[in-house]
Amino acid sequence: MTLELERPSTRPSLVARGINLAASWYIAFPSGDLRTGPKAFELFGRPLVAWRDRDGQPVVMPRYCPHAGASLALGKVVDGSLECPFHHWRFAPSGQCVRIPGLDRIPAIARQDRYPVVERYDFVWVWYGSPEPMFPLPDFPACEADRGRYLAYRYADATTGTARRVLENAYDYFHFLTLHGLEVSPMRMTLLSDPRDARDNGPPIAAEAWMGALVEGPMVKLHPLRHPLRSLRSAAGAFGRGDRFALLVDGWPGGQRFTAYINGEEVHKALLGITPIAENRTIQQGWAVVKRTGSIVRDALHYLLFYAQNRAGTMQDIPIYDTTRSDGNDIYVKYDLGLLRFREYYQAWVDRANRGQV
Amino acid sequence: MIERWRRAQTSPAVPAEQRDLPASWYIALRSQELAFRPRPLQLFGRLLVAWRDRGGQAVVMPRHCPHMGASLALGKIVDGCIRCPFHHWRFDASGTCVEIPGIERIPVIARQSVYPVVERYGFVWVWYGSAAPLFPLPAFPALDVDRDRYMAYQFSDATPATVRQVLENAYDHHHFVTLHGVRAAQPLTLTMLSDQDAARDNGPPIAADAWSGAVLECPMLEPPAVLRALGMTPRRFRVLIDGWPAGQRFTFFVDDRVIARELLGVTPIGPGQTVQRGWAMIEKTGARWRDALFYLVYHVQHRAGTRQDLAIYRSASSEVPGVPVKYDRGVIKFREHYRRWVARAGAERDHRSDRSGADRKGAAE
Repeated sequence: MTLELERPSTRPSLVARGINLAASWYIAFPSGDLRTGPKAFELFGRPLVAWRDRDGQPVVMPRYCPHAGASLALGKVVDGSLECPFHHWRFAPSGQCVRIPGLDRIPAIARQDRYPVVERYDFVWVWYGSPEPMFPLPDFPACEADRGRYLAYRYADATTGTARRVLENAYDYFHFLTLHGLEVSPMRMTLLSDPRDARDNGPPIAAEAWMGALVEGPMVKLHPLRHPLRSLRSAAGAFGRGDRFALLVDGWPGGQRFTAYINGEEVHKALLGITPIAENRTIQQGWAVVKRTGSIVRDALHYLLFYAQNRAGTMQDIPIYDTTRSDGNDIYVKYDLGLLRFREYYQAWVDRANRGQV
Repeated sequence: MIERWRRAQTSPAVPAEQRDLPASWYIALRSQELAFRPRPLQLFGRLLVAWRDRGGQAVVMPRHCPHMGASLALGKIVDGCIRCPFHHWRFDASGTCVEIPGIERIPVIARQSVYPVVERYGFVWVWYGSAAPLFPLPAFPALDVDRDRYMAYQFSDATPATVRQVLENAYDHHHFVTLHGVRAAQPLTLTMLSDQDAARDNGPPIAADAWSGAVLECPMLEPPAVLRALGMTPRRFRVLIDGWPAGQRFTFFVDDRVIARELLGVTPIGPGQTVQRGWAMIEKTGARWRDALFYLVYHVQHRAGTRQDLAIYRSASSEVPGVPVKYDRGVIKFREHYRRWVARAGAERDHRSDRSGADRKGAAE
């Protein structure tokens, strides 16, 4: 991967060449990781710096000062601007250089690019692929307005797989049966055609950035004596009740929202964000939430069961992400059509990112 | 987390394919390293997986499932087949996909190529260079029918040397004097053999076009002090060397009596990553204390010699064309032989890549 040097005279690109990443919103890090700053971090295969302005708003920009290339992460936030440690040039949250000690006229090219940033769901999100976002960060009410209705935990898992590998997994419905041993048969996946079909996940996402599907099927009836382990595991997954499973997934090119149902009743939700540090250094992170039932005992049980099941599933997925070959020589079979559609959709947004800024 | 990434950065996902290997039999791994679980393997600069079928036969095939590319090394052996962890596609020992859950008709292109494999002398040997072996794995009787006559140990040494460097060493008789300090009143000689009959002490003949051999002779050895102290005063020392393009058999004679034998194989992991491994076999005389002592002396000098060789391998460049002199004739002969077999593997590789390209196209249409 080539990391371009920030050359102010050539109007630097915010797009790292060589990374197959869709134009989208991505998680930089949890909100708590950034106080006033500045904080050095890597994202999109590029060295960046994050800090907070006078109002506490996060700012993300290339790490090196356009003057002599010193790391702004060694600097200080002074009067709501980021001051370079080397010659004390100061940059406003807009990226504009507002002060150069010893100089009266600030050169027009003395400014830093800045990435569009939003802070939500206790994460700092950064837009990748163009100077201005092509769509707003999607809503996930379970982590905002409806937060009181859920028990939540945050997760973060590192993998050497790509962002696409992590995201396409939801559309590979067949692996729920084989890799994870989900006892549902027959299982069916329907690609959704209208963002409003996924309203249980939250308000509709901008149509062109959206993709969604519903995976569903009847739970396999297992004889508890003949298949004690399988039936126990299956019952735990369905919270001990139910004979019909469904999973609603929808999202934008760089993240997803999930709602799981047992017998048509919502049981848990998840928000999946991606931290693409570099092509083969990815963190999947976000929130998993379990619907409260009103009974503390039952909620605690559901929470524990969901947590165990969810983490176990992740521990099965991550080694696959880590070791899978990506040479494009895959064989697509009948049940891979949804996956293929996702890959086309994802690549279309990679193209947008690559066109986004030159 | 950080550890995982560091690993990923130091071991690139796709290693460089090796293009300078002769068609031959190579050691993949030790037999006991392969039990009931699939094992990831890197050979020839390729990512492979090894596993055992129902009959316990070793199977070596490309590591990644042709479906979505998941690593079969994370899979399981089910009913004598390797099962991909991701979507449970199953491949039998011939590489044929025998089951795809949820799919009735298995696509023709859903198959893995398999490497010819033989398990012998405590190693799993893999054929490289063509779909079917061009000659059988040579025999080394000291490790099967004559096993009881020897005290044996296995050796295994990793080196950045190329396979050729490791193998041509035996034909470089002059380095025994200069590097290993063999002292002799008369110069050592190396005679390339043209008749396999002259190498019969090493074992049954090897396929004629794959074979090369030589005799190293030292008629007036000045034995090292340690041997003299043990009352051993060998005079004539002779080594019979023969082998195939990627392995060698040795018989060591002192005063025309066999004292030891060696089998040398190589594991070409990738460019700049080779393991030389095999067996050293010391002939028993029946005198137990003397045998034990001699075993020790042999082991110490063998390992010391290997350490000297490895130090040279570590620092030598294989790029330098070299200045051949009179005593390099054996090495030059061996290199010609080796190069012919590299070309044979190359012809097959080009053929194979053409064919697999055509296969993929056929599948997409």
